[in-house]
Amino acid sequence: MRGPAFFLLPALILYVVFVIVPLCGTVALSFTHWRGFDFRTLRYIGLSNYGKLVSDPVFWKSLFNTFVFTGVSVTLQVTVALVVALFLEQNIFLGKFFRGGYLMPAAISLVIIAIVFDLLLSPALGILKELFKPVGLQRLARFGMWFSDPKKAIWGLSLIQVWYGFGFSMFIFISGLKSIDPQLFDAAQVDGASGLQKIVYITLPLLKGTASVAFLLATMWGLSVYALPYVMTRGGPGHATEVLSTWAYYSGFQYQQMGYGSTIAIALLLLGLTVSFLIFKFSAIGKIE
Amino acid sequence: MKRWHIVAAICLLVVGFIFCVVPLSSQATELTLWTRIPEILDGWDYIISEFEKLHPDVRISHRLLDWARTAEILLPAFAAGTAPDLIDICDVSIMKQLGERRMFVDLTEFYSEYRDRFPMAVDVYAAVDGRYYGTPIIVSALAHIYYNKNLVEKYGITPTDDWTYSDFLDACEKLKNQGEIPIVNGNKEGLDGEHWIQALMTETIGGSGIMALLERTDPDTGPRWTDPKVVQAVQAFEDLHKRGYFIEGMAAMGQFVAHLQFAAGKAAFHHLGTWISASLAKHPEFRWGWFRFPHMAGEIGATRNGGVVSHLDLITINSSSVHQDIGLEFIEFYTRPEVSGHAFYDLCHQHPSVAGALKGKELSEFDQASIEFYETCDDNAIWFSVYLPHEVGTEHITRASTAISSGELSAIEFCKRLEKAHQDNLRAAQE
Repeated sequence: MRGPAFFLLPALILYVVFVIVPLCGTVALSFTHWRGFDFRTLRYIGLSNYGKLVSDPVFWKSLFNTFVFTGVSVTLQVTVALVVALFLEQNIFLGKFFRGGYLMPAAISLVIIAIVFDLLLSPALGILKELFKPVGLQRLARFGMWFSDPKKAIWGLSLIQVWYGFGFSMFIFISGLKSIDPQLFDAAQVDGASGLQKIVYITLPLLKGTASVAFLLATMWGLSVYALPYVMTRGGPGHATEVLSTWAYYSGFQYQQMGYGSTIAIALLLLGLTVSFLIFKFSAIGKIE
Repeated sequence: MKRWHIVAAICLLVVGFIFCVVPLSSQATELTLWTRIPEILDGWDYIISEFEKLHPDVRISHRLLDWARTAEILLPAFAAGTAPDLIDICDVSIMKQLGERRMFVDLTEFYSEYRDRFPMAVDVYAAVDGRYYGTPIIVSALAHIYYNKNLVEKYGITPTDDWTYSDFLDACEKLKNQGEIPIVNGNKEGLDGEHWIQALMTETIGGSGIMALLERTDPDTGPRWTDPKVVQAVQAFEDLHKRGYFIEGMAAMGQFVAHLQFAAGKAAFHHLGTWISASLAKHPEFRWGWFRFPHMAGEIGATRNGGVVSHLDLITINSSSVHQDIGLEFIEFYTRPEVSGHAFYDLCHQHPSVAGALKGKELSEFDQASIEFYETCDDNAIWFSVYLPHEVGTEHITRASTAISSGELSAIEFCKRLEKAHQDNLRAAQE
């Protein structure tokens, strides 16, 4: 073994041990009933877990919540990131400072973010009321109450996800903007194009590939979200903020249905593969223009 | 010899010394203990320290688990073969499963020798099919409502043990009309909601009625969660929400945040177990009182002294442990009345399960009232969610109560779903 294969080997071994083997184990477990503590009690039950999935109302609720969370957070995250990136590329005062500042949340563990927001937005302990009252915006302090409302709670989590992730998406857009040949803008300037026309007819078309990458990454983050709903709401109230990953966790570890929890995890994997396939197929990723 | 040869040789010698010689030189026997109650951490530190003084060749390594996720951490450890020697089990359902598979050391002989240390109420927690697998740590009860003295006195309200449920509702209405928060509880985790439902069901069907529901084995016969008196209790919980007596945002408020709100004087009433006194002791400026959970006139609870007397947490010995004999000595040591009394009461202000542990100690008025209840409770029931399989109890009682708190689920629907889940579980067990 020599050349590139030799240098790939350590990473490949780690990948197989920590990704492929557990994945195969999860697939295998999805065909079993197991209470999670004694392998002697593990028994093969065929496709029963998959049948249970179809008739489980909480699974469909969590699937719906996953779509809502991902859809809302990705749309807002990518849009806000693009707008901010375009704005910061105008060489504004303290632009570099803001660029780094907006990226900072993405460098912090999402568990920490969830704990901080849980305290900040707590209707009882949070400081929002004290912050907003002097400026007459105390109604905004009621954002914390969203998490006790089954209709609004998932939207509240989505907004926090936007705050967390838009900096990273902005970073991707800035990289894309920097790769655009400035001579195109000069030529447009000579032809009398306005700032908005440059953005619409030059910047945005040339950012298609970058936007697809930002969209793909944000979507994968959204689909696999776990820390936010688990820490902030425990998937509640009821199952109002239950997503596929938290339902897989509760089913497997708390309700001692490891087989069924694995089945939900496989469903999430298949969902992720399907979505990423569609994104690759219909986006500009990897396509030469 | 080149210089790097010498450096490499020295490094190898140092590494070899660290990994080989140092462990050999340590002759101490190491045991691992996992517990989950942060309020008695100081007590365990004392017990471990004293035990190690008596056994200089033994070291006990103590780990505190997240109290709400003990089973989720523990069961994978058993599956992986990395479970500790001594374990705090707080779940009857888990105790039953692991006990039936003899994954804990059988302590029946220990109990027959030291039976006088443990009250009979321990049995439902510690025994599986007549064999004992764990020894209790502390006792607590769910039978009281706590109140903010400053707030109730301000409006001329005087709670007593003779209050009826109607008196309690009238007081809440009065406080609400004055712009005060009548009741503070946090139901994000679902436990406070479960406690309310359990206390209300103790009134409508009694502790014995609750146990009949929990111990049901036939899905088609026996008491049901959809029986009118059960629905009545859950509707009473729902009714407290509809009347606006609970603090706003209860469904998103954690249990501990609710404690803090009560200790900060933000509400009049707080419903929790007797363990609350240790938390409130940290706020000496806060004046608080308590009264027995008010009886509903005409209901079975009014004729009994019912509630939950809980010896939920038990120390068990892993049957795979190679230090079972030392584990038995540890259990014998910490269950000595003088040790338990000092560790859990003097240091942590909790009530030890061990009989005689509080003998000769200066007890507060609340301690005396709690002990009186432990001894006189004649209609005891176990906690729902630790007795039923988790996919029934935790999912359809604990978590479902959060849906009632948020207005998403009605009491009737709560009971119907719980009944269906319990029936499905019983049928699956029969197959």
